[in-house]
Amino acid sequence: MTATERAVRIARTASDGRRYFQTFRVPCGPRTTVLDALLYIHRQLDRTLAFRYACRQAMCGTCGVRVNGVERLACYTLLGAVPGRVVTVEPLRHLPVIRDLVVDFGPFFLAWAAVKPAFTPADQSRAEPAQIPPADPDRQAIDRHRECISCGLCYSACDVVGSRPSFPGPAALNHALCLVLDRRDGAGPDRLRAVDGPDGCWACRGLLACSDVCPKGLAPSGAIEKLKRLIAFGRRWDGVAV
Amino acid sequence: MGLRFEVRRPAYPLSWPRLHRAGVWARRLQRVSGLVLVAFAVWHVFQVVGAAQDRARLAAMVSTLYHPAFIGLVLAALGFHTLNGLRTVLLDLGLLGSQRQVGAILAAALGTVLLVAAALGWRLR
Amino acid sequence: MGEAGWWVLQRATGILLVLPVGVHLFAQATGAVDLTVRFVSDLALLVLVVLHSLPGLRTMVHDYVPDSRLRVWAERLLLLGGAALVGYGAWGLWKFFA
Repeated sequence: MTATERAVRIARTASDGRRYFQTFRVPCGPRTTVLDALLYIHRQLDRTLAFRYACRQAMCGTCGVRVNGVERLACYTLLGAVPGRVVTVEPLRHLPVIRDLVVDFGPFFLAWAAVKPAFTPADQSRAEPAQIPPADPDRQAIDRHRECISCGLCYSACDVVGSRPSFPGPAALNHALCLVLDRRDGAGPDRLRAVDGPDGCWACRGLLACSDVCPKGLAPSGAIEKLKRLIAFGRRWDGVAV
Repeated sequence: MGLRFEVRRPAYPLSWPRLHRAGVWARRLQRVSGLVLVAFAVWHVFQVVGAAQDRARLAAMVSTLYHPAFIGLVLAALGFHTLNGLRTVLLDLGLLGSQRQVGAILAAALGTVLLVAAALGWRLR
Repeated sequence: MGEAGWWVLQRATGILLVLPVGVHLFAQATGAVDLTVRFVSDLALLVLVVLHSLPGLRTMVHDYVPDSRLRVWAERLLLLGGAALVGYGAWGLWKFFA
């Protein structure tokens, strides 16, 4: 292996469903990402490698994988920055593996559905859309948790998801908070009831792994703590009413 | 109140996270220290009741309690459980952002070490 | 009591525990605390320790006991054990300081 190459060890799926690891040598420049490595392997070394990607610029959340045990977007992880002699790339946890690095996001979105994720207008009679201006404190509170790209990294990183399948997961609860804080939404109390209970937001153990891995700088753990406060104290908190 | 404490950091840089999963380890240690303290509390209650009935057992209880290894173990558990618990309460109340937890966990660990060192220093003086 | 109640109980008792623990350790180290104050503080410490540990142990039961019926019985056992420890400990404290 030359100085500008790295060994990349990838979790594969054999035709009989058996899981194994395969190592490739990949050129590594100063701006080479893990996604670049996967594309190189697919184009030059093994056309059977299965993985997902789309935007290649950390906007879509499609290329989520685990790199040396850490949940990352493959397009936004420098190959040269990964520590250790070997770069190990594995699929996300807690989701069924379809093949190689491709997982089935069905359970992730089923959990999403459990928190009543659809916006329900509080005032159904409005002719014009209701607005919250950017400078509004309510908007600022929501902004800290908006723009989740549903990459599933937090879902994979969360140990509670692994041990308790009925737990909605950090992304779904983060989304629930965005809607609960939105005064244009009329289903806040119902949504809080949906996330209440031992398998709802209270199952969160404050492990903070979700906030560690979020590529958008969101803090799903903070969102879950806010949901707990809103349920427990039922009044204005952070200057925002339910 | 929580607005200025929950910082939205930009999308992560192209570098590697430091002390990844520190929160997971802190939570595990919180449970272990809690179990140590529960065991100690139950033992201590039974010892106190025994000492109340027989003063000779009081000397034995005090001798065990003042053993440096015992002090070290119990105060390590108490110190970490208290300091990490304080961190958890600050997080729960929104007074400490979830992105600032690695520093807080290290502070709790350091505080525990200092507490045990101070206690052992006092005991062995 | 709902999940929110257990959560608040654990946080509140955790904060309240700091004072009696401090008094207890100070009294042990220096002996310079009035006996009545020590008795009241130690009694409060006992009650708060039990009230603080119950939610934590209950959480562990939820995490490690998969069967829901076993979980209910484990919770009841915890509550019973906690109440027994407070009663036994309070009686012992009374005898100790009397």
